[in-house]
Amino acid sequence: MTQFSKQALPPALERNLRKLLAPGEVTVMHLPSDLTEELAFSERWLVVTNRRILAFPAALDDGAKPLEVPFKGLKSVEIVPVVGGGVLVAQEKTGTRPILHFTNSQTAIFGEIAKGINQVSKGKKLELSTEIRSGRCPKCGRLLPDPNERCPFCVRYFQAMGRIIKYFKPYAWRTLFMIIVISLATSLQLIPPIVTKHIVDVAIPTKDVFLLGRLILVFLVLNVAGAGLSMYNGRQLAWLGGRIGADIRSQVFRAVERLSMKFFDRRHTGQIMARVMNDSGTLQNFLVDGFPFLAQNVFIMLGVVIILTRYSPTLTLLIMLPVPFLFLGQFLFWKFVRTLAHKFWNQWSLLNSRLNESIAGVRVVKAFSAESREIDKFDRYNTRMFNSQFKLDQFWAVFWPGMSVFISMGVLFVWFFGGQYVMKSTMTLGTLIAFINYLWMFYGPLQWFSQVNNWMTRAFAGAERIFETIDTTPETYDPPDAVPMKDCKGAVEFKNVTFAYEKGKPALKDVTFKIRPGELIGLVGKSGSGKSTLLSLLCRFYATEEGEIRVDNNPVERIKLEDLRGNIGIVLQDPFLFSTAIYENIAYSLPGAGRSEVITAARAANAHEFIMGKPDAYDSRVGERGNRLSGGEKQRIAIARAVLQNPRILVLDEATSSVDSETEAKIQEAMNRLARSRTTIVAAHRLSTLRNANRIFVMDEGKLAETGSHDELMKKRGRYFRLVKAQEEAWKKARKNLSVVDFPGGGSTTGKHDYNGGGGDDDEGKHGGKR
Amino acid sequence: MRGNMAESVSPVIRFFGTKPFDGSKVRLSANPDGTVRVAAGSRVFRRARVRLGRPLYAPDSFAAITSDKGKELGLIFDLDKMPAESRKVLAEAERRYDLTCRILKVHSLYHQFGAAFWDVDTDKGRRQFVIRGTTEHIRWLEEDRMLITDVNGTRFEIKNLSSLDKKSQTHIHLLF
Repeated sequence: MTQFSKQALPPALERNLRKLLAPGEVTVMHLPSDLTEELAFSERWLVVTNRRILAFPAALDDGAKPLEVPFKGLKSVEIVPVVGGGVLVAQEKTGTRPILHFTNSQTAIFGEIAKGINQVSKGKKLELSTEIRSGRCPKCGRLLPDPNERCPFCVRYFQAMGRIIKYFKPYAWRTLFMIIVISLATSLQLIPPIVTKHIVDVAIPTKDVFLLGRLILVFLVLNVAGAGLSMYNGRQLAWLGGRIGADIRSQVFRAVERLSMKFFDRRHTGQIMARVMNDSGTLQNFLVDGFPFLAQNVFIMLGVVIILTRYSPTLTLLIMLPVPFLFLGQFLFWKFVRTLAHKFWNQWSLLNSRLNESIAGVRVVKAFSAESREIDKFDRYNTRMFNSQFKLDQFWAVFWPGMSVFISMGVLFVWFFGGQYVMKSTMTLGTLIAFINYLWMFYGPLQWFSQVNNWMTRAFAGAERIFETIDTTPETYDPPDAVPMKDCKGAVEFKNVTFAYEKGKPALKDVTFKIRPGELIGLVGKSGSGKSTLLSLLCRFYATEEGEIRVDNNPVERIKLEDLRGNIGIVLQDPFLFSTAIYENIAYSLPGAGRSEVITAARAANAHEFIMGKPDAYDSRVGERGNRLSGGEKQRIAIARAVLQNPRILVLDEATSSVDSETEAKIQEAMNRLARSRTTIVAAHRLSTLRNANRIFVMDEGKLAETGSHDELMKKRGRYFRLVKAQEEAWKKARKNLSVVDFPGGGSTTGKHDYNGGGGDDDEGKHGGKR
Repeated sequence: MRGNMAESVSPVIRFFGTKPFDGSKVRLSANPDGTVRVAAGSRVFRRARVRLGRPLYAPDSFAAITSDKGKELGLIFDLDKMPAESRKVLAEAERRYDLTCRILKVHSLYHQFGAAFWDVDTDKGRRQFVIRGTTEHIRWLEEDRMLITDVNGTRFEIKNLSSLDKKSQTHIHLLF
């Protein structure tokens, strides 16, 4: 079956392609890229058959020869990233060959295609992901502002509304009572003009003081009752809106906490926080302010129209005539204001980041005497912000008086025609005054109605995002056939494991090894060689794409997640600590741990001594993300936290790479102590820390390149040997350079050299980012 | 270009010993696999890659020659002294590496739901794209020069805002 074939081959192309295929050759996949061979935006087709890869332009003329890569001689196909896109490249026995270019909007899909080609060319079964989003809304075809989000243009109001209403269910009686109160309060607002009419038409002409008094009393009662109901309503709405907002936030947070790491990788922290806080906040605001505003005013406007029609259908029609123009004017106005406001916020955010950078980097600014340059830059941004703000405010200044004039025109209109009716005695003066009062009630909310659509769209789009998060499949904690792992031995096995964070760019390739219980394994390799990925897969932060990982001979995905992670203690290069006391941070891994357990863990991690040296000892606050502690202190607390749960497998991912030698020695000592009784995997840059390892795994470009003890690998004189030698050389060189006190060239070390003829880069100021 | 690095040696270069290739002696030729063959005096690299060091602000500033795996083999500072044919090869290699396209006309540009939707003509053809937020997606390279990166990471450049037609300028000035 042809995969990724939603876009059919153009008929002419298909005809010509058929001529090219040999007997028995069938198409397996086909897909157009969005760049031609000449890198223009158009199509270049990729067709994969069961024998070869073909690439050709959309107009494949008779006799034209496509680019052809036969499977015979093909080692693999991969994606090579370039600026703004990528290239599908064939690795052949004879060398590499670019097949086609595409822009970044197709990276994911071509990544999947590359995977598919590698499967088909090796005779494996074709298994491709169908979860790739194209960047366009499948419903309306518009570009998506965020390829991972739903289309904001296709918000499903009724579906979203249906789900929002469900949140009211626990508070159904309170909600019903509130609706009744709102209706009552709104009805009360419609009565005063009628009372006015009676005062003008009946009480004053008949000089009936008693009636006047009674009507004024009605006014008073209406006012007091209206105010009382509004107060009650406001309080109830604030409670209900807040309660539902809290319920939604809580549900979103529960859902987010249980999502897989892939969800977090695809989104920024700010984006996820926005879902929990902003989206639920927008929805809450709409429920508290927007929805009552909308309901109340629609009710009032309908009431006004019904009452006015009863008095004078002709005058009512005259009042309604300008409404469409008012809507149109407002629509255009808001469109323009939105654009101006966007420009203003752009400038504001640029000025803000400029200011932030200048202040945060004030030491550097002063060190290079760059104050004047910074002031000039700030002034440029400041002027731009002033200009955009002025334009926006200028527009507002015109809009509101303009609106008042428009509504006043309506009033004048009513006075003119209504006045004539009164003169002809077809309408009473009281009715005319009531008309004027109702007119204000009618036109007032209209000023904001065109905004309601925008308001509702934002709230409902936020609701959809919230529901999408809630509906996302969480991590599988306990599959139906999950096995418990209470008594873990610590045996680890990777069997042909391949994994990619992004389609087509594997971070681990066909990795196979076995670790016996209690072994100390060193994991080395350059940055990006796959060390951290390997450790993340072991903790099941991600699921493998191919191959299998076993702990104690059980596939990790079949082990109860809580048991698996309870048996693996992990310490990262930049450990995360919560902004609470040291004691609580250590005890985080084992809720309910006793005092002596926490202290023992701290001692084991060589942390107890420095903790007791702090003014508040174990109760010292660590600051946000632990920033009140040094790198080494944070590491040791993280190690204490990891060992408190007494894991059978201890994973240390570059735990000593950013600490000084003395601290490293202390961490090393702690690590050696801990490693004695458990399986320990240590990823490290400093190879000296791994000499005691039973075996060392050398990672290179996602592959396990070498394994063996330190001595064995040194004898082998391979990659590990080269890494050790390179590190020794670097140390020697660094020591030698440190001993050079005098900077050659006669310069001092104050940084005030004469950089004449700096070789082409002394034009930095001329080109260097004016904006 | 401001002279030959090899000739006017600054203290920092003397200290760290950067030795650039002599541009006039560098010969580049394209390989079918997308790499280049570099002959620099007596040294020959059969499969290398070249990359401009400052492709945005000073494309003629310098280029780096790396092995196919990315290990640096050397720098060329005096690109202007390279033979015309070699400069062409360098330009083509850069064109194939950097897919940034140049915006020639803005048909429409509007802002909705916190995103800006563009419909433009570029030197590579017509294209619609969308960006979210400006600090992240728009980089002002100079007063009149913008580099725009869409939500997918595809890049667009407006070399000179003033050289666009009035309507295109209005579209951009309204939003940015």
